[in-house]
Formats: sequence, C-alpha cells, structure tokens
Amino acid sequence: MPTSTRRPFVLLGLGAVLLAAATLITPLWVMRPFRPQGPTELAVALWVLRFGPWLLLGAGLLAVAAVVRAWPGGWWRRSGAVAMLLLTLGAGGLSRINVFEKMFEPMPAPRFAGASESSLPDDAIVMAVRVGAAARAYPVEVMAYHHVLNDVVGDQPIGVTY
Amino acid sequence: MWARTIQGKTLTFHLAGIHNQNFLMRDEETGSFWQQVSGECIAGPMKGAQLERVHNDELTVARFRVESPAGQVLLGEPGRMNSYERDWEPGIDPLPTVVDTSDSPLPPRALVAGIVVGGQARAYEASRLEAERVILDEIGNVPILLWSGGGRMLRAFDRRIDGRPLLLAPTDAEHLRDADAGSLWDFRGCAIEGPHARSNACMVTLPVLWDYWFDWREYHPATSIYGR
Repeated sequence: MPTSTRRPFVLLGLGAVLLAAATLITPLWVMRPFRPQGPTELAVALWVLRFGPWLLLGAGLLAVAAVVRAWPGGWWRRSGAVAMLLLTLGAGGLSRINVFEKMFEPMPAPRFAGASESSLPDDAIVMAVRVGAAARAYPVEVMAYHHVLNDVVGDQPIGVTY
Repeated sequence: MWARTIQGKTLTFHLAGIHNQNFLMRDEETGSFWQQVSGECIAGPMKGAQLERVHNDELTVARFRVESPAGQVLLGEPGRMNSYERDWEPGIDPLPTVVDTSDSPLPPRALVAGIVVGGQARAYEASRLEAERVILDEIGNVPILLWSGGGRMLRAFDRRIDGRPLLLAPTDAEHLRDADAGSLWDFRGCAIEGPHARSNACMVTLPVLWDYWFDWREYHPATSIYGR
C-alpha cells in the first residue's frame, strides 16, 4: 500500500511548511501599515513573535521527521521531503528578520558633537534633555528615521523615541 | 523619552511593530512589547508595567546652544544622510489614517500640542499657538502658561510660584513680565530680574507632546481642545 507510507511524510512535511510560513506571515500581515490593528489580531501577532522560536523548532522537527519517514521510499520521496525541509528552514530564517529594523535601522553606537560644533542649521528642531549637569539634544530629522535610540545621559539610561 | 530602568532592570529597546500607526518597541532583556506613545507594556512578561517619562523639550538647536553651551548634539549615521529629511511632514499629511475622528472638530492630521495636568488632557492646535505666542490657561485648577518660541518650539509651565499664580505678559520676544511683582522671566521659565530673580525662582515645566490629532485623541479620549 504505497499511499499509507506516502501520506504520513507528505502530511508531516506540509505541516512543517505551513507552521513556518504562518510564523513568518502572521506578524507581517497583521502589522502592515495604514490599516488598524484590532486587539485580538494584535495579541495573536505578538504571541507569534514571542513564541516564534518554539514554533520554528516544532516546524523543524516535523520537517526532519518527514525526511526520516521518506528516506526508505526512494529518491523521489527523499527529494520531496528534503524540498519541504528547505522550505521550512527558509520561511523560518526569514521570520527571524526584524523588518522594522530593516526599514529603520537602529543606532547601536550613537556619536555626538559639542553643541557649538554641530553643523545643523540654527532653526533645526532637537529634542533636548537634561540630567543633572549633562545636556543632550537629538535632532528630530535623525530621530524621525531611526525612531528608537538607547542612550545614557549623565547616569540615567534613557530611551529616546520619535 | 523614557527612563529605561524599570523594576530593577535596564532595558534595551528595538523598533518591533506597529499598532494603529503608533510604533511598538520590544526590549532585548525580557522580550516584552511597549507602546511608544504611552510607555505602557502591552504584551510579554512585563505586561501592564509603565515606563516613566523623562522630561524633554523640542527646541531649535540655536536655543539649545544658548541654554546648554556644554551640551552635546547627536550626529546622524554617515551612511544614512539620505534618509534624514528636514521637511517630511508635508509628505505625510496626505497619507491615510485608520482612526475615525469625524465626530470631532479637527481633521485627523491636524498637528496639536498635547498637555496632561492632573489627569486632564488638553490639545492646543499648532495654528493657534502660532497666532497666540503666550497663552495663560487653566487645566483643572492648575494655572498654566504655554509659551511658543515659534514653530515646534513650545514650553509649558505650571505658572504658580509659592502657590500664587503669575499673570504674565510678553515684554519682547524673549521675555515675560509678571503683573504683581514685576519680575522678568526668560524662556527657561526662570526669573532673571526683579524680586523672583533674587530667590532664583523657576516655574515647573510640564511635558508637551506634539502629535497628530487622531493619535492624541486615541490615547486621550476625554481631551478638550483649547478655545473650542
């Protein structure tokens, strides 16, 4: 009965691919721009982001199981199972990329100039903060691109957001 | 701007998502998600926690140099200069919004300065602040001063000194004088002449948030609008 040996590896492989694809697509689909996010769908998307590594581990195990199951069945089945494993790994790898930080790259090592040395035009707007004697200014034109900056002013760690 | 230290942990934030056109941050340390506009943790192990706001002013860099000559200014990333735009707001204005504001008197992308005093929120239209550079107002029972230095440069103060409200009027573009004691006040909110200057009095600054009307109203549904 060839179908009884074929079906389990196909089902395992498809399950793996679908699980990895869902892990990749759900947050991107829910949090695409210019549309509202309802509370439930947002909760689901954030849940998928939080538990993504576990979902991908599950998908990977399913895909490996499919390969193991397909291996004795000959080259066609082996290639099919390996193709699904590669699809699973591909979708899983893509889902680990933070697209928001691809669009708006972070600034892990911010650099500063003295207030008098800055080449900004006089009327450029900055977000100014003072902690004790330390004062720092973050140009809005820079922050409107990066959006998030982790900094320390004086002895106070602050998150600058725009 | 937010203090990154909360419940004994110092968090490192990353841009991580979008929620009704306001972005979400995720911290490396706990993996929790935080709403940028409110500082509230909305998902993850720290759900329900609230970041503490750090006071900041939007100033022209010229004003910053005057007030903080020893201060530092963030430099842009050398490879990113093409991504920095000085006048990006006209490009954003026609973009769609996803929050319904049709039952309110302002268009969704009207720029407002928002202030919260004692839990009461009020929005000041940018066009109004441009026309009325010095506004003496009261939110709840707190007498406040809004002082626009032009454009986005705006400071708000609790205008009480020793419990007595100041009645302030401009003398020139840089200074206000109070009617009772006759002290002269500068844009930092500090007295530089007159009886209050002798005690080095400064008014307490209040946080100002520049925002689009749709976003401000989303997070402050009971907000009033100055003059409406």
